[in-house]
Amino acid sequence: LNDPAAGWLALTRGDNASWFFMMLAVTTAPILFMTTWTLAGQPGYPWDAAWYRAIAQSGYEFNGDIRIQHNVAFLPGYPLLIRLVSRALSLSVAQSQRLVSIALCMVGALFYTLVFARRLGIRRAAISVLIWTLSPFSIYFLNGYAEAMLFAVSALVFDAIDRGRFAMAGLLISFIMISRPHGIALVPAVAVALLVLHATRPGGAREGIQRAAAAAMRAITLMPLMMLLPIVLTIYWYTRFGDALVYKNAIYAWQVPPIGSGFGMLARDVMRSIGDIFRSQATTQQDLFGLKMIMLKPQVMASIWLLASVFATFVLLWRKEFVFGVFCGSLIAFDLSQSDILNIGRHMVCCFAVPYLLAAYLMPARCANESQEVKAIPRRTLFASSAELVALAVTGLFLVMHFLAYTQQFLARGWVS
Amino acid sequence: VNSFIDRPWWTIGSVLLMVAWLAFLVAGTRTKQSYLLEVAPRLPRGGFADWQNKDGKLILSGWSLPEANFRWSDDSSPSICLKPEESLPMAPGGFKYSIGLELAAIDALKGKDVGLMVDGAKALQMIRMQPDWSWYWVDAEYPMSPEAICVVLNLPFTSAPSQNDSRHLGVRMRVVELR
Repeated sequence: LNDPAAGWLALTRGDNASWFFMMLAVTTAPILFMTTWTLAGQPGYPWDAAWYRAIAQSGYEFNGDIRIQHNVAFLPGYPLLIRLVSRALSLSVAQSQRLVSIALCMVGALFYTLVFARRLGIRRAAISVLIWTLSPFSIYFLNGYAEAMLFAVSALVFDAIDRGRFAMAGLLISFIMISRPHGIALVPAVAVALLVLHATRPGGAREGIQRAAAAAMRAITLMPLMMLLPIVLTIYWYTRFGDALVYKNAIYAWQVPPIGSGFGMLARDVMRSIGDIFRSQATTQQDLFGLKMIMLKPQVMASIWLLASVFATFVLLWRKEFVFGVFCGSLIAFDLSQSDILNIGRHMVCCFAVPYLLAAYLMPARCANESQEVKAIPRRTLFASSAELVALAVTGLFLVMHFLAYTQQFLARGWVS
Repeated sequence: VNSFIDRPWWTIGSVLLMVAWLAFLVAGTRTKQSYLLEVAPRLPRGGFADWQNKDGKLILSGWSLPEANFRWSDDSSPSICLKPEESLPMAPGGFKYSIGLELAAIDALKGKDVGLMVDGAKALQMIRMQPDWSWYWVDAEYPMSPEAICVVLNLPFTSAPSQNDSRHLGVRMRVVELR
């Protein structure tokens, strides 16, 4: 990047429309989610959100019987933040959880807008983040899950990478590693960022090898910084429970009976879900604010999102967006090896390849142009731009309807992902 | 802040620290199996747990719990000890009995030979496991204890306990009959 501060500059010098787009990106999803929550009677966040509250409330509890579900199966970074905010602001843990989720979602949206703005311009960046935060599984940025932490911290990491602050990126990764295991996808992203930084310097093939070695050395030197908090956490676990990875063993209680995870099982289930579309079994009717709506079942949506993300990740790499491409690719690879059809939508939620490319390719250049200069528009361009805008709007509407439906479903204690 | 990442000593120190951490993880991490063995109730060889059938006709005590989370024994082979309601006579050579087990092979054992060892039997009896429910009888002279008859199954895969815990019965057992 020629100008790492371009995102901030675009913001501070941006016109009113750019500010409007950015405000939309940062605030729309939290407003829609909290409105749905209020209309649903302000229920407590269920499922894993309750486990995080339990940790924030009373810390870890584990009696050694891994057949029983214990809260030690959840990483401590996110509930730690909930507890800190709860104590600092004298809020209940549930209030603090809601506040932290909204704040993290807004921080993530703001910083991703800035990071994307350096590549796409502020308007496209804001639309991209808006599509992302209103995509169906982005409810997990707001519903008391640690995905919000990964969303915010990964945005800060990419901002730090753009600014060349690799030590800061390393410390942030260290924090996300004790909050969400999927944060490990940021490690190869930082390594590639270092490689790209060295590769852009002039020189021949021999210098190229030397530069790659130098980048690798830098990545290795950063490793203890990235693993600082995981090291502390494993020592704590060992001291308290006699098992340095008690977290991993405690997950066993959620795997009986085994659902079946890993690439083979997931591929089979994804294909089955896609097949449901052709068998007319992919939809379900849902009452959305009094309207009878036909919605895609979460597993079908997750399967479509996964396949689209895989395709979009290759496009990112083809566009030479190596850092983003490697992050999304690593996230997908991690999920393919670990996840299952019931959880893949949530696990993939921080992969932004699809919304990033939707905004990059579908938002008409004229809408994305931040200059005030007005020129005559050829009719063909006008037609193409209109078609692009309609496609973008329809896609956005499709996604936001599912965002609302899944929010409603989740708050009613239904399983979404 | 970034300058440290270009110092060779930091790189060497980083490698050493990561190796030390990985070694700590290997040494300090427990396996799932170790947890299960710790929490699952186990019987010492020859021990009993209450075993009651629905109509109360069963005269034996033994061990019957779902195998996913429990073990038949804390010994190296799956075993079951049966406790008659009255003590058995212990005259050497004066008491002969037959014990029958109705068993069905799990998938891994279909067509495999399983050693069936009964207290008081002269030798280990090899039986070929069938997928359908079948009766297997072993003759014995007298049990090792007047209050117990123990049956030990030697499964073909007990040499690989990490894959198939040898303390699992490893077969489906429906009826045990004593004559």
